[in-house]
Amino acid sequence: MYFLRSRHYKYDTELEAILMWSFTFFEFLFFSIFLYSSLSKKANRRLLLVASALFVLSAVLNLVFNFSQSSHVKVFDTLPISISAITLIIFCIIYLFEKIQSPEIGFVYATPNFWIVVGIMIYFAGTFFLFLQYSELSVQEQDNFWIINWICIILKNIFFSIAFYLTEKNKNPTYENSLNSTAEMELNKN
Amino acid sequence: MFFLQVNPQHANVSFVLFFGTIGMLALTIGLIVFIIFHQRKVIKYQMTLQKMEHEQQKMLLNASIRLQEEERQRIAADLHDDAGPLLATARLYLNENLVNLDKTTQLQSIYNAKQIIDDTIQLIRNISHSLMPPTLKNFGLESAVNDLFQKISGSGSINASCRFHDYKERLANDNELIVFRVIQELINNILKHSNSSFIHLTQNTNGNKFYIRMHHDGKGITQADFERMNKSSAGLGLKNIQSRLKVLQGRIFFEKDPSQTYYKVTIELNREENP
Repeated sequence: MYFLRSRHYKYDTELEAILMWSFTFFEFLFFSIFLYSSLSKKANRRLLLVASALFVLSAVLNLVFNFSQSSHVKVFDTLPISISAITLIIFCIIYLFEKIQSPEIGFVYATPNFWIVVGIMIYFAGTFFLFLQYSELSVQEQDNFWIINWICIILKNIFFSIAFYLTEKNKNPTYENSLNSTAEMELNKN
Repeated sequence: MFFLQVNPQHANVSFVLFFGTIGMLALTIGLIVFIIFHQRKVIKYQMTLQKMEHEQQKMLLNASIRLQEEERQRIAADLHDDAGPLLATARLYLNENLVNLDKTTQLQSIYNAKQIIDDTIQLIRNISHSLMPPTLKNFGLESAVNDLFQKISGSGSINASCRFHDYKERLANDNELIVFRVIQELINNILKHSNSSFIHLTQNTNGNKFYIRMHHDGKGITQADFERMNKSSAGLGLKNIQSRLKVLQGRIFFEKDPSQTYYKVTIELNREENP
């Protein structure tokens, strides 16, 4: 994205459109695989598979439709981006509700997956309106509002870093016990 | 998706984009914070429940240990206070000097010693029967309960009757003993505290459930009283009942009859758990 927006790049609308589409497609695929492995209920997993299939279908159709209009190829196609954002946000919420329904005693924020999901949610919720309206904005406005994307990416990366940090900590076998006892102590204090 | 897109000719896109983003972020953060706090609340509640359960188990264990100790003390007292003096007396009759006495006195002494030893045998048998009723061991719960109720009725102060409707298949020996002890404890409580004029026990089965119901017309307790006493340090016998039934994964209900005349105690067991 940064490369496409840089001055060194010689504009080629079709290549840009394919790159943008690929980014959205693989980003969705990557996060949906993560969510699929994190969801515990079979029904929700199946639902995610169906939603992913629908997304892939809509994205491919959109790409074909976009390229069929050779006179005006849209670089930033808002439809697949918005569908992917809504789908991922919904499944992140489903993941969180699964977590609060689970009978295990353990804080949800002590698990790395929680922070990854928070990162995904914040990123897609924050950039949803930006990507949705992007094609309607003037070049000046696009430049002005692009900061929203940067802020959301930074936030997402911070949450992902917390997740990786927790994963590293969890490798230490004594850490989990200390985490549970800390949780108990914390609750007892309250 | 198209509905969410703003037509720039009619509305301020920047305005919608800015507030839309703020709104989406606020909703997401709100949801995450709600989930964290909700989960904390649920975990706190679960921990409190676990703590309460742990404390109750501790109380039940203490009650059962105390009862065991009391039972041991009672047996020790029976042996020491009754069997001990009897055997000592018998020993006195059979001392070394007996050979120097005349024949009649010898016979009298031996007869007295025999009488005392017979009494001691009877006493020890009674202690043994109180530990494990032979009727229960040999003929089962129905006979043991019948036997117990006949003895109570025989005293004349209270009318006790029982009826087993469906007890063709006996419970396991250990389980029968536990149920019998629970019935004994309940009867003991009724005799001690209720001042009732009758006790009636019925046994039934419903599917895989095994029920024993007891009615009496005296002063009884309700489920709320039972639970309150279970949580307090009082009610050792009730805690003992609870801990015994826990072994069988059974339940007990205390209630007042809708007619407000009788008190009813129901013991519910799972037959599959007691093969």
